[in-house]
Amino acid sequence: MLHEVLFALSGHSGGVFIDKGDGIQVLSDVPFISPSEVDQLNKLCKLGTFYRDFNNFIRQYGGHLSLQPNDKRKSEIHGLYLKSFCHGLDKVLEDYRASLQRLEMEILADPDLTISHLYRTLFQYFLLFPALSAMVEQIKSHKAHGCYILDIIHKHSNCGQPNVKEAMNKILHVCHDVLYKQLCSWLLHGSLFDPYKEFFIQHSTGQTTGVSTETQEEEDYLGIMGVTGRQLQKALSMTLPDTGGGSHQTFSIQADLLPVYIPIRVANKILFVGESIQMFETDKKPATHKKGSILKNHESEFAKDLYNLSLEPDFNNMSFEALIDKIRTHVAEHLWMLVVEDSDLVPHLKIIKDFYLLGRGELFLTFIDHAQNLLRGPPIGTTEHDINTAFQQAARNVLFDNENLLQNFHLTVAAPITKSTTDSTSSSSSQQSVESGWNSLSLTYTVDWPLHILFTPSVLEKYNRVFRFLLLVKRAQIDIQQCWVLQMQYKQKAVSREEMTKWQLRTHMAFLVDNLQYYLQVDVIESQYGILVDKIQSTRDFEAVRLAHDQFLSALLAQSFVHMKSVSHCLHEILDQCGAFSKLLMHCESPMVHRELNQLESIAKNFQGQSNLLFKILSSVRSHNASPHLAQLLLRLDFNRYFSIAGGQLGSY
Amino acid sequence: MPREIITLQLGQCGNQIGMEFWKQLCSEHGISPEGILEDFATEGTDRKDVFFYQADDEHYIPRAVLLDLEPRVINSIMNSPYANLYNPENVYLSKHGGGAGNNWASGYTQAEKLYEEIFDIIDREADGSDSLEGFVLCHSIAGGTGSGMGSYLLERLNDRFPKKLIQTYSVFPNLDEISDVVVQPYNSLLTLKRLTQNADCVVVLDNTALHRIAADRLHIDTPSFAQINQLVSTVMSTSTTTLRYPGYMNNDLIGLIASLIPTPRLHYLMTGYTPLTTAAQVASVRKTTVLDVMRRLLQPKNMMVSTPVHRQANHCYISILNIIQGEVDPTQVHKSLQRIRERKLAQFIPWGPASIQVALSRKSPYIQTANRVSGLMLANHTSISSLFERTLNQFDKLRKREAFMDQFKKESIFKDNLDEFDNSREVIQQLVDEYQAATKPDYLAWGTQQASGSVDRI
Repeated sequence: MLHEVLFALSGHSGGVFIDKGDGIQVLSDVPFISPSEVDQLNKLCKLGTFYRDFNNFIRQYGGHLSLQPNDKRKSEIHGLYLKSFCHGLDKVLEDYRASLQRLEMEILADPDLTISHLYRTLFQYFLLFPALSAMVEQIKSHKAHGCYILDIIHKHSNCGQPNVKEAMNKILHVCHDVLYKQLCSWLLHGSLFDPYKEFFIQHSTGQTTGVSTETQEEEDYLGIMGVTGRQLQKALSMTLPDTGGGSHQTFSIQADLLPVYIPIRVANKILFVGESIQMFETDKKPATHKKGSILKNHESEFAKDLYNLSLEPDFNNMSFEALIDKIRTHVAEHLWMLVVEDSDLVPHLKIIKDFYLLGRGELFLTFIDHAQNLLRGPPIGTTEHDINTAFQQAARNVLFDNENLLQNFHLTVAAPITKSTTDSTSSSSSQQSVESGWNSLSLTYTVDWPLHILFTPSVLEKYNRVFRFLLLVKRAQIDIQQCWVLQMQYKQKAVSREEMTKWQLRTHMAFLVDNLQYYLQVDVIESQYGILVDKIQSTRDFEAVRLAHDQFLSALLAQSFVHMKSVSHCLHEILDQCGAFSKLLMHCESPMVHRELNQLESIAKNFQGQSNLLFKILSSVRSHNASPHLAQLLLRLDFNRYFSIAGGQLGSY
Repeated sequence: MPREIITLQLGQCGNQIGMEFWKQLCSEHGISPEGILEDFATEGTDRKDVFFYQADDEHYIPRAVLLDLEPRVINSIMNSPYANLYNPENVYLSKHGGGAGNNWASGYTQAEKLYEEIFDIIDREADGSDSLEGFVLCHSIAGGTGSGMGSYLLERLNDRFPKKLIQTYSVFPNLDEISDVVVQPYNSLLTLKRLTQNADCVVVLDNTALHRIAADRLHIDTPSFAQINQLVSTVMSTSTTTLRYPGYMNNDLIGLIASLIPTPRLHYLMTGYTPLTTAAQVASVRKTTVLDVMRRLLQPKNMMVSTPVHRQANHCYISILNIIQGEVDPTQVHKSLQRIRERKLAQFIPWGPASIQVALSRKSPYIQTANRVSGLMLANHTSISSLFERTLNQFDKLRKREAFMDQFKKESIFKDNLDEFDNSREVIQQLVDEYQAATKPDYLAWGTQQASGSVDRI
């Protein structure tokens, strides 16, 4: 009889204990068992049922893993974590089996042992097994996958019963083995050893996020406020998915796989370390090869640390984060050395400033001269080749010696917006086609390894937006200056009233454009650049550098109004009027015929209207602390308060 | 297209300051007195081609034309270490060699006769440049050659190169001491007319102020020509620094001066410089911030033009360009502008928008200076008219007595009548009036009234 009980306890039904589908139970109508015993036996049978279920679970999922996880077992739960969970579960059941064995020995020695003895001996499992069972059920019902299993175990280990807690921790510890192995390969070698996609860092599909942020961006900048919190947040969060960029693999954190007890900041650090190392492992250049891997000789040290950590029975968050920090600091410093010192980041930033931000004014002055006719109309097939020739020519003219550097720059005229126009209505696409070459001009820069992690295509595209705007300002300035030569011919001649009006319009235009230019170059670019270089030199952490660079770029975009639709539209209109004015004056007869006078009047009207609008926008947000740069521009434009005295309107007389 | 600039040096004074200018440029660009690029300067990113052309890989020659009617100064240049710097074909010394005798008319007439020879040189020099932007003329307005020949050249350059800019560095005579040139007011007035009508931009170098600066600021009791010329060459080289060191703005002459000159005739610029030190004093100059520099540039004592304070006239700035060299914090520029506006340190015109433009520029890496930051101000200020008024007064005194008229009547331009004097006087009087009008809000209306008035007269 007692042996029957032992069998039942190890999950097997028999003559007395049968399984009717809802668990093992004692036969109800056995005469030699008293009703009180029936109750006790049924309780013991529950343990047996649990044990049997656990064993089934272990047999089903803990066995051989299929190498093609995506085939027939697609919908089923699978994976390394599940397997080690089974292993851990089995380990916990070990105690139970040992208890049964001991009981059997006792029974053999003393056939008169009571059911109560069994019941008392196995009492602890009445608490443990339901808890384990609940967990197993949760894994099954949630189809828990990968690191999510850790999460479930962790949640269940938050329990006041010591033996349950201990058992859960035991299972967790076993499962952590897998985590540590994956962490080890990721942190030290940058490789994602994860055949079942279980790790909380995964390859990300970059394109979709890129598009969505692009469209969101447009929506965000409708208002005239400065950088909103959301934009800033985005600018910061952009760094993560952007980093890989281009031909490189991108990784991201899978929030649903991240166990709650690993904070997101630690996960970010882990992501950064792995990514950096991955970058070095995959496209190591011969030149840097001799320097060895990024971790140099610390690999074994870190591996040992990780191993030691994995031996500890409890997962210690503090020491885990400390170790991750240690590795991250090391990697970040190494990257900083590599990027800032070995690859001369600061001189590279200077180059970016010289080209994208028109730091080499004389080069672009010459280039505009050369390319003026090429880019006035919409681009044609040969335009791109021609403007590159013009660019090279301009560079040679200003005695720009560094041929190698020059080769890295290439101008393209492919309109960045063409993609969206193809599926829009025909009217807007015809509008696009009259777009002049200047507006579709882009400058591409071939970035040398390893600086591509900073100057990703999306970063360069942002630079390009500033570049196009600066070029537009510069062109308007040159146009307006050309008219000055005509104006200066009136040194001996008398000036009629109309002439005076015309020249005052020119003076006001020139004033606005000049001061806009000074504002952009001194208040925005030079200032922000100074801040950036200071930051780079005051840190030894690559991530701080990257953050500083991102802030630099977002400050440029915000303060040059590229993102502020209202202001930027206004400025574009003003600059267009300057161009039209110059064109009119350079080609008109003197004195002007009626038609030309009308045209001049409409240019003046437009200019007045737009400058007035600009004044209103600038002064309306002057009090806002959020966008002090608007006040900075206004200070320059209204330095002698003429602008405000004239009713916030330039170009009138 | 480097937008070349050809420098024309006329007469004793013009050649002296020109010489100092080239000395300064050579040392800033690392070019030896023989025109050879020094070994340490081969990697520079400066633009030497605006003012120099390259004869071969390392040989640089100034785009300069040296003209004089008497041999003294040019001979001294030719005996100096810099003798081989210049293209010998560009050094023109009149065969007559007698000078202009401090007589404007003589200089003018002689230049007329030498037209062919002079313009052969200038044409050749202009043909040798890809995209000539303009001319810079160095001269004094008081003597004979610089003023007379300069005036003639200004007129002809305008005819011959109508689309090229003409900027002059014009030295105004020292009025504090008795001049050895008694006809100075005549010469000045006649030259001023051409500067008004034919030049696009005149940088006024006032000898009175330069001597005052030498005495008060540099503590030199009897400043030598060399010390004064040192100041002048500093101004000249600094004002061209944005052309020579590639920066984001003011990369050509037009970009530099167009924003300073809103109306055609008001094109006389004053300069100010800080810190003003001699070699011996350098150590005592303390650290400087952008605000310090900009504030000091607005102080009259640092201005290189001496203008008496007029109580009745409300003189004001038409425009200001500050070129600041050295290591400065660019974020300070905005704060400095704000401070200057709050404290009303500069009074601006009421009839149009005006502001202080600040260009940050690089310094030559080859010259060690003790002061970290230095600044040059180019300012268009209405008080410059007091210089012209002074000239008018002195002219009137001489004219009333018909003093020294004989020498002028000898020359062809005054052979028939002295209309040229009256005409010049009228032009300058109008200029003074225009500057006065520019201090008032209705200046633009004044301009058109004058125009209709002059039409009536015709």
